[in-house]
Amino acid sequence: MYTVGNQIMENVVLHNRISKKEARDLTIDLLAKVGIPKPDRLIDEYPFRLSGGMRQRAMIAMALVCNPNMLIADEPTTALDVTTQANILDLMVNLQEQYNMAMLFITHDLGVVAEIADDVAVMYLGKIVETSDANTVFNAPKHPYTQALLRSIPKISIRREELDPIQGMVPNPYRRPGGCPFHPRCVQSLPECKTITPTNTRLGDHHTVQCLLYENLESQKAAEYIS
Amino acid sequence: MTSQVTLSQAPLQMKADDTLLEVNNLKKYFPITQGIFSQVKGYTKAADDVSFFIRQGETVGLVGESGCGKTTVGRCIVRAYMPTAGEMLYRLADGSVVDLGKLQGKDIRPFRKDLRLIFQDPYSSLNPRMTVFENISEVLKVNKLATPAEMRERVEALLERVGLRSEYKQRYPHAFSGGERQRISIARALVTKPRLVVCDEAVSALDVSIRAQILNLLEELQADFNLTYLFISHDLSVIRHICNRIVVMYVGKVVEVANGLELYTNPCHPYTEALMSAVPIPNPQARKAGTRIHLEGEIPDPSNPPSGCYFHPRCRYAQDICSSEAPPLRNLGEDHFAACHFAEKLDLNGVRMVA
Repeated sequence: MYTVGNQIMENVVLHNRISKKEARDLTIDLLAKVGIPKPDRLIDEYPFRLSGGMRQRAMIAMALVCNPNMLIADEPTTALDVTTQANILDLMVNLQEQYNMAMLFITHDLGVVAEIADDVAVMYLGKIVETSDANTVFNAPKHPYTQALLRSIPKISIRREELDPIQGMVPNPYRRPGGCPFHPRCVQSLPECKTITPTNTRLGDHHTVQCLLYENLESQKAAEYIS
Repeated sequence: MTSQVTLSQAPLQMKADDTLLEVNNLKKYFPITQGIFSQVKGYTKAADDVSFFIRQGETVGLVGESGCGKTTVGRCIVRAYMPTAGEMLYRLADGSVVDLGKLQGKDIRPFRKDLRLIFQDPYSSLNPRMTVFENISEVLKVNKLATPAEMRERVEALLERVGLRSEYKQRYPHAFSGGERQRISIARALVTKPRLVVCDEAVSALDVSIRAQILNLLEELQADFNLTYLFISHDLSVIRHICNRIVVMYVGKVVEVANGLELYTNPCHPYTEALMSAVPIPNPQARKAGTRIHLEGEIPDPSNPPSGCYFHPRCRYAQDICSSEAPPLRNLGEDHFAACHFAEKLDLNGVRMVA
């Protein structure tokens, strides 16, 4: 059994040449930075004594030990209640400014994405199907999967009679469909989608999409341009 | 048998005629024991004086943070738990009223088919050693509600209705995905032709794209079978979508009850306001950085709650009275109830609606 402090200090001592005393002070500093009350006492607590939100804060402190340039956060708020989630998201945005670091925020919650992300990459079955800045992805999505995903979520601010779900389910990755992996569930699929795997198509400075609908468009345009 | 139960007691009355279930001052305390003799040294007040009602045919949402007692209330209603105190008045199809909280032993049996529960986790709620058919039909077999031929017919019809092929009934649960398993759980809940279904986080474990399919299915089934739902969830956007009325709980107590739109646009309890402001909106233009209400501190321990109003240590509008006197749940008119001393005086912000 390790205390919260032990687990954080382990990283500090491993990566920096400092004494145990200094490591402990640094850890207390970090815990204070992530908003843990009474860090000098909590450093000697065991994780099971902390609430979910506090544990997530301790995890964030652990990740910040070596002043990272990039922080990969894998579903950091998914297990938390909305009120705690709001606090953790604000904390992460603050720390990002303080540490001037990049953040890769992995989540399935589109609300959280809209809240925190500058740029968004949408993945489906191992492929990034669309990337752009957050505004474009949410307000002018191009890939049929992104569009369907946004239609399928219930929104708190709009009352709709019926949700518009994506048909079928995510295929088993061992039996990946041929061509575009999304074609069996896609409402706009073309006959070619079954065989041709789409490649990245640029739609703007920042906007790429993997879909035949746009590849054709581009090649048509190109053809027009040449002729 | 049911008429015997009602006749042996003084006739029970509900406040309104269209109410299916009326929960009054429901309490469920779990003892905290210590030592080899299991001495009781305190109680976790999982549900503490909970009152609300459910009308026939509507969907009532029960929301709150984890540990606030939503699941305990749901389980008391289906009598998986024996409540410590309080009444749960249930109106039978013939119009007579029974207190579910007082029933003992075999008297509960006839109600097991009327009140059904859909569990959160489709992976652990189905018995992996039973086929789909056995999983769904077990309740009919145990309660002797149908002959084998009827059972087969009912299970097949239901499987088709929830969107699965009836041939699948001989397979085992491991052969199905999460969404399909949740469809099986729904079929299992509906096989007894229930009147009230308690959905305990029924879509929380599902992927976003599957969640919409199941929500739509639940709505269709409600219309087809004339069901009443108690929908327990921590996800406010799901609750907003599916529920007519919403009950908000905080540390074992009901803090606010109102119609869906009313609660979201015009909350009257500071906790509801904080909850609404914490929900992330899937639109980057509605980004709320800095404008969100931060709830300081932690959710109190239900075995050692604060004095007065349980929310006062985290409430930004708290005054002296809040720490000494517990506010009762008051009727503010038009089906809106709130448990706050200043419910009428506060001007709280809800969710801004987009047409």
